[in-house]
Amino acid sequence: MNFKKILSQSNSKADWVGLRYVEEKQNILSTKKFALDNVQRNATRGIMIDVMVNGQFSYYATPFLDEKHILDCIDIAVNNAHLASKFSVFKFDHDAVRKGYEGSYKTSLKSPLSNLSVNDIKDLAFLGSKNMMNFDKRIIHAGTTVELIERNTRIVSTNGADINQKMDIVLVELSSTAQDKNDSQTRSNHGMRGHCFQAGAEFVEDYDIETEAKQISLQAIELLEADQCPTEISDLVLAPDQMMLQIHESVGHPLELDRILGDERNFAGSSFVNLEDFGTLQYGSELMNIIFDPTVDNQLASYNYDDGGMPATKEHLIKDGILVRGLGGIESQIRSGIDGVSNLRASSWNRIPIDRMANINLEPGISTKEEIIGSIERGVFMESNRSWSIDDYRNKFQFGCEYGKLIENGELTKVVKNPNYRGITNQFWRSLSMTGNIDTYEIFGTPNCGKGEPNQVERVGHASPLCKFDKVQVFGGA
Amino acid sequence: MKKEIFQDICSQVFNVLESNEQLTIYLEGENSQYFRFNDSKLRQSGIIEDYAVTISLFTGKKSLQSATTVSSDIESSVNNLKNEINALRNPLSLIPDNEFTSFPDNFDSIEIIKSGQLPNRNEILDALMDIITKDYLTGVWTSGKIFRGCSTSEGANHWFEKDSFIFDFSLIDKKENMVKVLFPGNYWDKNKFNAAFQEASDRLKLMNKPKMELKPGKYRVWFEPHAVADFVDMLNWNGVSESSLRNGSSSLLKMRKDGVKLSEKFSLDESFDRKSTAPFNSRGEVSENVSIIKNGVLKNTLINSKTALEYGLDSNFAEDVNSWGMGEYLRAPLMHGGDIKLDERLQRLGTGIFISNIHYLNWSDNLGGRITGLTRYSCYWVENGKMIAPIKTMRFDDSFYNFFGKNLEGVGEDILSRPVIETYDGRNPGETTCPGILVNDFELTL
Repeated sequence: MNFKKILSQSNSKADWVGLRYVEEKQNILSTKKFALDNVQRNATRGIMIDVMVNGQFSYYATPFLDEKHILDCIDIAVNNAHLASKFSVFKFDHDAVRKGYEGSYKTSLKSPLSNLSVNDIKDLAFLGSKNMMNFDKRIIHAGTTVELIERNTRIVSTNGADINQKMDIVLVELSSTAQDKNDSQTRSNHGMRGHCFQAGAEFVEDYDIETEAKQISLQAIELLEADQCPTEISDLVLAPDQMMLQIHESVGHPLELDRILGDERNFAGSSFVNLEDFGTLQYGSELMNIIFDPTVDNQLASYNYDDGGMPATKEHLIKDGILVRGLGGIESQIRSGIDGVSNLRASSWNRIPIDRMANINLEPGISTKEEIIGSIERGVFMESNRSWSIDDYRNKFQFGCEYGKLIENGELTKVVKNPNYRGITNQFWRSLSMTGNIDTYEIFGTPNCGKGEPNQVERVGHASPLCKFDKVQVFGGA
Repeated sequence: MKKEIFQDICSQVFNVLESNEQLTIYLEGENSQYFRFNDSKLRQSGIIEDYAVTISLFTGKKSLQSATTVSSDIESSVNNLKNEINALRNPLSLIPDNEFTSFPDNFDSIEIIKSGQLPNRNEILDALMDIITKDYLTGVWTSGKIFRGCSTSEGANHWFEKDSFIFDFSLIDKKENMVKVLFPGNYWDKNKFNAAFQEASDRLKLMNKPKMELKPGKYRVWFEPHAVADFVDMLNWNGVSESSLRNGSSSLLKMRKDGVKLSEKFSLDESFDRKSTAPFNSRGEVSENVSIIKNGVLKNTLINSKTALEYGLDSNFAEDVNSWGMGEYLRAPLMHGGDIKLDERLQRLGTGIFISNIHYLNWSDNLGGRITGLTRYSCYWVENGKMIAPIKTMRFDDSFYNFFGKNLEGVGEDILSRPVIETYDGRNPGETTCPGILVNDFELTL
């Protein structure tokens, strides 16, 4: 479809018109125990028409890709923008808020995911399930899900934007449940849907699914036989796959400028961070260096341009513990006067871009895993998130993990089940006392970050080293 | 989208099936207007038309699904679906049989059309602004038609269509006190909205007092129906699903295995009597009402046809797994009312906490039934039946085996339907219907 031609044919009285076409194909296959559970293709495509009149945006989203219909939708959106512009929260200058860049992006890969057949995916999934199920009758459930996603986005606008981006995305989820007469325990590969990234078909060769599947089931059995996590104040060591969630909920969301500006107060919530805090707030200890980086190869939320058409760059959000920059796209930057990033992102063609996380990563430090564990007289190590909850200002959090181990006299000792911890964001991050070195650094993602009205889910990447926090409230199950 | 267009698309697509193929086509559609407000000014304005179709192609014990989009343009929609069927045929031939796959039985076709009077799209913004600028409102207005349709190659043709609007908003004062309001309907009446807005504005003024900070501990609590609805909705996530009981992840496992009971004051049904949502599922199977928990005793769970085949049970035609990985969830939950009258709530509470809304719930111990979350919006400290002051946000962590069990002192007489406001996969016509509850020894932790 010739989007530029459509724009040239429009006789609308808009100050600016942008078209964002999204086409996304998903191939999803899941196995349950030794059987095929579900095979599904999802193929969505449509167009978001965005216009500006008198400094006010208005949109029309449609899956009907007919030139005349799109021109009609532009006219309706222009009429609505005109009506809405009497009541704008902010009057934007269209050339300042939509710049008209040209460019492209493509996932770094050797072979596109489309080269994988349904049999390739099926074999991988069965390999996961078979290795989870095969060795102990207490394993009552093993499920594997493989999702392969190919997403194409095209942005064009009346002021010259022309951006093509193509992402190939992989998610592999393993889950094993062990049960005896007293308990039931589930382990997964890095928490719910945490093993996701951009990649090509070569990921099948690169992923040692057998080893990971076996380990998950072994640990599910270990948890059946384990004591509850103790209830006490102790040092806490978090694995990178739990740090992902800690960063996401207690750093990513509170730094979103649209939350701070109040847009999300009726749904996702606000933030304890105020506009005056940027440049001054001691968010965490000096070991805390958080970056926004969509430029990393193959992380889940890598791209060259956000959905507002702005080029993406790596930026520090928190440097040496001090809050320096907000998670706000060009609209929020203009509204707030705070430095931001290129993070206007939309979940699909039927949602408008809003301030989102992309890849939000904690930079590695200098400590080895042995040094971190060895520094602790009494503590708990936790990995793989299974429960998450935080208040609407992002202060009081409580997170639970799948798997824990006691740390006693500088060594990891016995396994503990149902490990949880709770705290308050700034106090917690200020208690960050050791960050692991690059050898402890791992990359994960979450494909289900919810926000916005209407609601939308976004894919977000997180990477972190192993981290130690001092004197945290930990506890176990009922 | 009109029913006739959807069914015309379906009948043309069924014509391309080969003799050994069967097909179901499920539509979830909307044509909606959205206005998003921040401090009674307009942040975002738009229209979304979205017609998401899931087709399931069957040959014997094999089945594949494909989700795609259609539109009111019949020719392009038919071509799109034909292409999807073609794309499914090759992989369908490659996958093994699945003994738990079955083509749905045929049901009598159902048609439910809930017509209303929606406001004029060119006039509603002015009408809303006339009222909302009297205070500081943040939230989202949504209006338009919601569609559900399901046709099968064996002749079932179901259709559900609903005119509806919902204004989901918060009034927020300068001290960031907040009152949450859901104003749903299908007949727009500006005067009714004005009254609801004024009532909320008056409630917000009551909060203009210094907030109390409570200490962690056990408290007597009155939960308003919207808060109770959040607890009930948690049972959709590893709760009422038979599959989750079988795979060891259900919070109701203690009720099934050990005969643990909740309070006899607690009863929960899946009830389609209110016709707020379509009683047919994405396979075109028509669900009856199901008593889940009666007087504290687990009576039934939700069983879809796949689970029924896997475990040799009778299906009650619960939903298949959705895009969030959740299946067998309550589409029309109804918790039964009790005997606490609306105007007796504070007296019955006496001294304790009045909680209007809760936020961000999650299982802290799924099998133990323990749920953590936070207070949000208008929550008050009450002494001797009188509201004293709003409270600061508190975290709770307690088990429904306590607050729907031994600690459930009473249940409100009035039940309130809370419409589904989540729109991740588009607008949903469903609702959760609950009374308020009075609970002893509810545990606040932070």
